[in-house]
Amino acid sequence: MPRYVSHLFLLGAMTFMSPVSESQSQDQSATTNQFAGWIEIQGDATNGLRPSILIGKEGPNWSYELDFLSLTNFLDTSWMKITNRVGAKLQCWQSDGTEVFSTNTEVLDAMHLPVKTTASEIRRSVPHSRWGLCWLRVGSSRAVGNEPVTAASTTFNLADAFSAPFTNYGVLKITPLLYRVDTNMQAAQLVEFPPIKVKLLPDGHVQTLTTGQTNDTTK
Amino acid sequence: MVLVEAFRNPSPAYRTNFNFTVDYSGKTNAPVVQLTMPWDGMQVAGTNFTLRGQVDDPTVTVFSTITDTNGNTNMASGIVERVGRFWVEDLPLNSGTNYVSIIVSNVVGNFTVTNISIVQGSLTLTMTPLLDDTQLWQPTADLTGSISDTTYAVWVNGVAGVNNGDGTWGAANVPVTPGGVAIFDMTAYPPSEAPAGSSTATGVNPQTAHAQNASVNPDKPAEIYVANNSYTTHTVFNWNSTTTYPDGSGCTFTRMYDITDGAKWYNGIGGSGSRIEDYVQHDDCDDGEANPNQEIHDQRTSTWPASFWPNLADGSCAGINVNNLFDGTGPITNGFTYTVPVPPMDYVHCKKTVDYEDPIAYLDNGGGMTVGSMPEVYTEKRDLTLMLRTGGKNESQKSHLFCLSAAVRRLQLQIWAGTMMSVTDVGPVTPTSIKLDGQSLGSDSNLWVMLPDNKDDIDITPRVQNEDYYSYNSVNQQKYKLTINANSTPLAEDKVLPEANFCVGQDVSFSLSGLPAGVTATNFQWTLGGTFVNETNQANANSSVNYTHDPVLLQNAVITNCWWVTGGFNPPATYAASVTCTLLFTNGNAPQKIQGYGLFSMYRPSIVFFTNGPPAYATNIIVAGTPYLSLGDGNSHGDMQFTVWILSKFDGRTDFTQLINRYAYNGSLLSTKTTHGAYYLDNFVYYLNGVNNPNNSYSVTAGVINKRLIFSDSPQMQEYSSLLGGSTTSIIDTFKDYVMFRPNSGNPNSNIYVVLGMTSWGWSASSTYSGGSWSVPTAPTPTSPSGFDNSNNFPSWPQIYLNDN
Repeated sequence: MPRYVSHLFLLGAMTFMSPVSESQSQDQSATTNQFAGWIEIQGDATNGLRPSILIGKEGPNWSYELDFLSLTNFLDTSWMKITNRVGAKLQCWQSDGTEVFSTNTEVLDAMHLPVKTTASEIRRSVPHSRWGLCWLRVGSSRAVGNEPVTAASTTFNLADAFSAPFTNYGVLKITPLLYRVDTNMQAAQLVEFPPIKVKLLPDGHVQTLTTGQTNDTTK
Repeated sequence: MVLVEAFRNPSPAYRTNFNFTVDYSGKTNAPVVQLTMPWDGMQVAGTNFTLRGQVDDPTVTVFSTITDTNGNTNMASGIVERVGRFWVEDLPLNSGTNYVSIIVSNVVGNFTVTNISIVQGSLTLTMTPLLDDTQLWQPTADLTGSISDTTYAVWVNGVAGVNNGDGTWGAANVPVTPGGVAIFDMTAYPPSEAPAGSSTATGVNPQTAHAQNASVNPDKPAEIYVANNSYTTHTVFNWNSTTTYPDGSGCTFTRMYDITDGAKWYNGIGGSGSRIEDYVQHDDCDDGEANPNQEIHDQRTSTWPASFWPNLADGSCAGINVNNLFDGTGPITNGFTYTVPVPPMDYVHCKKTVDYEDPIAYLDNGGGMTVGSMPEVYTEKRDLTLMLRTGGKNESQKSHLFCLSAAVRRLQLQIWAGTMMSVTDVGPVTPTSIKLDGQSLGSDSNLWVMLPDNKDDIDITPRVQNEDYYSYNSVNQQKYKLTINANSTPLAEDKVLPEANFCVGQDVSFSLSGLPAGVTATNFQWTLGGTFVNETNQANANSSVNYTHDPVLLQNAVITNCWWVTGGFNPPATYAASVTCTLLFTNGNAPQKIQGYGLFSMYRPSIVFFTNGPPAYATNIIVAGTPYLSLGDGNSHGDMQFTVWILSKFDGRTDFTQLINRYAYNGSLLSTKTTHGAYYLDNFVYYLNGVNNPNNSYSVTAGVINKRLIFSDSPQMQEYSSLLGGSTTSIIDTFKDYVMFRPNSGNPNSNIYVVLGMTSWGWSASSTYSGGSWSVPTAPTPTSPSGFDNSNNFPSWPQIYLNDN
């Protein structure tokens, strides 16, 4: 088990602001550029995949990687990444509860991806030589031993999306997105995974707040 | 070469050089190893321990491995002292049985392997460090510590202690081992096994079946001690007189004293003293004396225990009265009392012969006239020898900076009739006239020198040439432990501290601390183990940032921006950092070249698995109505695929960097794509993520093996059917792929990507337009990678190759 793994629990009435006092956050604002470590937060599984985010603060900037753990046998051509680098729907709130709206086109576009499309349309803007990289290759041929396969979908710097830095702390809601591609590798259906909501602290630590409904219908 | 240097203090040095050739070719015996602590089957308390032993050859190297019940193995190098004692420090101890191998090898490769197993004990057994570590030089010390079980008995170095029942223990008068390191072996016994008696007085704790052990081995501090104090006076006193009376008669009187008083005292072994007295008197004067002629010979010796003067502290100067004169036939008692000098005496150097002659002429009570003389020779010699112990382990390459200082005052002695009547302080001796260990002090009374560790015979008695009388009472030493810091973490000289583990690609800076204030350090030269880069250059905006090694930068006082490219996976590589510099002193002392030394480790993540994808093949495809000559169809069929797994102890980022060497054309008059025989960057620095931002590659989580880099590439060339010239599309590609890794330790943005391995692959194909369609490509089987090598050479490119679309 990796370090900093935090399984998500439904925290009920816990609000975004309650776990950390203002004074604690103030103390932590005087932080350095030291890396506090990748924090892995696993989301709820659905459609045979469990999303997880690896999130960390490098220097002043937060970034995350969106990974998917295969819970069943898939073909390498079963899932296609969205070509938008954000890889998910993103929403962000400041510590006072004010939502931060991004003007980043990738963030905005990810909010309105077509639910039904085709594989050709998804990769229309991708150079042909990189078409192979559009697939989320979670096929069993990628496994080592009997371990389930984890494949990375994307990495994204939050500073590219939200110009206002989290001077105190911020709350981030990540709703992972993938396209499920049918067996003829043509029709594609957008799948929205249960959201993962985290509080990003100035010292590089992360608190898990809540996740969406567990909705794994494939198990 | 052996250098023989003979000298006396104060003296010129006499030096002779001999050349010897040491021939080990006939050395066939393996080293003889005796393990002192721990031994086979011992239960050891704590989470780490220090292994020590003795070997018959101090030139050997010592290496140890320890494996726990889970198969985890740790390795460590040992240090060997000049006397053959060796140490392997801070070996980790895990629960259950730990298997330890000690490999001792000599210069010709003969080696001895000693295998033992030890068991981690259940107790906590620790010793509290002494507040005053100078006590470590005393014969015994009173110790305290902690123990987690109130029922266990505690012994230390063969002395039974007391379990106070509150989690602490104490032990009084514990013998302290000689040498620069104090060894305290502690043993805790369950109630049923507590040894009888209070002490074995052997320095070794008895062992029982369930005894648990721990050992603490602090270095002793540097210390000045009195090696020898000698005091000798020698008086020859001849009184010759002739008395002439008015009647013309007369008599002669002669009296001769020859007295030597001596005293010597040595640190730690008690003292001794002696008095030799010869008294001869001849008197032909008829003055009614009972023994007009007599001879008395007296010889006496006194010894003082060391406790009279255990150190340089002032003590009683009271004499010892003796009254046991001998006249050659037996003791006599005549009421004569003599005070024997005992320590402490003044720190006086006195070496003087006084010739004294006192003419006598007076009228005695009988009316006679006495004429005579009292020639006297008085010699007094005092000497107190001060020695410096430097403390620490007696390693061959270890030395430290010392500041020695002394103040000397010039004395004037007045002597009369065999007795020193007075000592007058007539002022200080100029510091530059004072020598310690043969070297002159500076104008501020300081002498800066580099001295090896665990030397106990460095004579630092102040010497002043051409002065017969002087006192010295403020001889001091200060040891400066120079420390190399790596990223502000102090490095140990004999082991890699847990905080001194770094990762390839991590920005590591080095500095030297412990230098005395007010001293100028110059001429720095750093030597750093392993392979690292410390400089960058870039020919143009589209070329690679090249990392190079610039040795000139290693002459800075502080080394910044060093990134290692070599290291070890399991175990990490241990590298040495050393620095020399010259210290300049304003007091006139000669410049001193000093050295700092420390160890650190460098971890290098590894590519632990590699798999190839399905075989690649060339084909013609249609993309948005346009024909392409392609490797694979873009639907995960026929493209070049492979997967690597990376394992790292450090969090970080990873991706491929791919270079391309291309020659392709699609119709001779339309388009030729070439990299001119060179390898260009294939579009992006971070290939899989398709970015040039170093913070947008994939994450590597420490200790997790599921980080896969799934490579896929489907290189292609658009096919043109031209009526103007040529209808053949041809392509020849070779690629180099590098697995790049950047650790996140420290400040990630100051770290760099380094190479964990490289592979290459290629393909070529040709298709001709004929009869309204493109022919099936003529293509040999693509050259697939067989795996990644372990190379660390950075990818370098002069230009960026950009795709058409």
